[in-house]
Amino acid sequence: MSLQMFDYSQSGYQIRSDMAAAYRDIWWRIARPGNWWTGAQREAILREARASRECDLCQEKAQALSPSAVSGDCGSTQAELLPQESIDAIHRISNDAARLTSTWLEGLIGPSFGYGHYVELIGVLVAARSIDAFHEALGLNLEPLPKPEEGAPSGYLPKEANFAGAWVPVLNGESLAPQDADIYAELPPEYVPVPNVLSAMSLVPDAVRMLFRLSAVQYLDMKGFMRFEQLPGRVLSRSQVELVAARVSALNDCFY
Amino acid sequence: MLRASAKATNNKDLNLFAVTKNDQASSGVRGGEALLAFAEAAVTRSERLPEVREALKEALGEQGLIEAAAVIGNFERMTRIADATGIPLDERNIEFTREVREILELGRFTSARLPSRSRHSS
Repeated sequence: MSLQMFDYSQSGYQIRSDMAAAYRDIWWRIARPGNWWTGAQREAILREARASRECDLCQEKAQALSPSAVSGDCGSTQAELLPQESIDAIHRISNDAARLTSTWLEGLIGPSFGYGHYVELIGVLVAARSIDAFHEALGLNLEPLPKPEEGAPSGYLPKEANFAGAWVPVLNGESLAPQDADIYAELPPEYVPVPNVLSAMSLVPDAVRMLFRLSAVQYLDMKGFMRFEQLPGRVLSRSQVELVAARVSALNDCFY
Repeated sequence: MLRASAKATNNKDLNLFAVTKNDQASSGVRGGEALLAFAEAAVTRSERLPEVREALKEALGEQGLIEAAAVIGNFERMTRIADATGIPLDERNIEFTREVREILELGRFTSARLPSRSRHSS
């Protein structure tokens, strides 16, 4: 991965070096084969997620009383790499996530599109979305897409995962295979059981690793979550941070 | 977490309605109006974004603006994770957040989920 990725030296902003480093790391991770998608497919998920922001059918569905009131499939330039189920998921998660339902998801899941595919897709999509949203908010150009690496997906599915209230199986942290033992390792003791939003993507452990990597630079590291004093090296107070967080959540109609 | 952070700093002026109202009522947080306007313009892709970005930079400085943009990115991610995986509210947070949920009428959000129920309509 080129070190020139996320080079903010000409951006007009003094972006913290740890943030740029985290973004480069995420781009590098997205470009690699995952558990269920190849590197090329993961790059295609990112590409489709960006294109979906301009999807006319998505806008029509978002305006309708129910998204199912508007028929038709969203068009895609990635149909050679991604199955239609994934195109649908990318568009809905990008543009109308608050109205997703378990019934909708059950209709997508099948022999060629399992929960692993779905969760990994979410992990790639939201990681890229958070970085793109940062660039858009500052008026910066979006980072060019990462160059995918060759290789096949591993097909790894943690056998300890189970349904525990979410629509997808999760790892609750009480029993983890050695290769997954790191994913919650930095959580303080009061985080047992692991909060749902942190375990939500654990069916694909690397999605959780990406989440923590990004949260540490965009929001807080998990050790600082229950501390409310001014964070070292940060300008905004915790109340200012939480005000923005709450408003963004409300604008996304997010109850959680 | 907003209310907890205000309590921790003894801020008695916090107005939770500023989070859900569109009129950017005074939040009781320093620079709150500029932060709310920036968050709203960024998420809704408003044409006003350049203008409110400059206003926030003036109010809280360049680093304040950058950190606010990062928080926007973070919660553009977290809200989609919660909605796409159908997680319920954590059991331990039900009582902790009950008053805030009632005050702000968060149950009206289409994504509202408590552990005892799930959504089965499409």
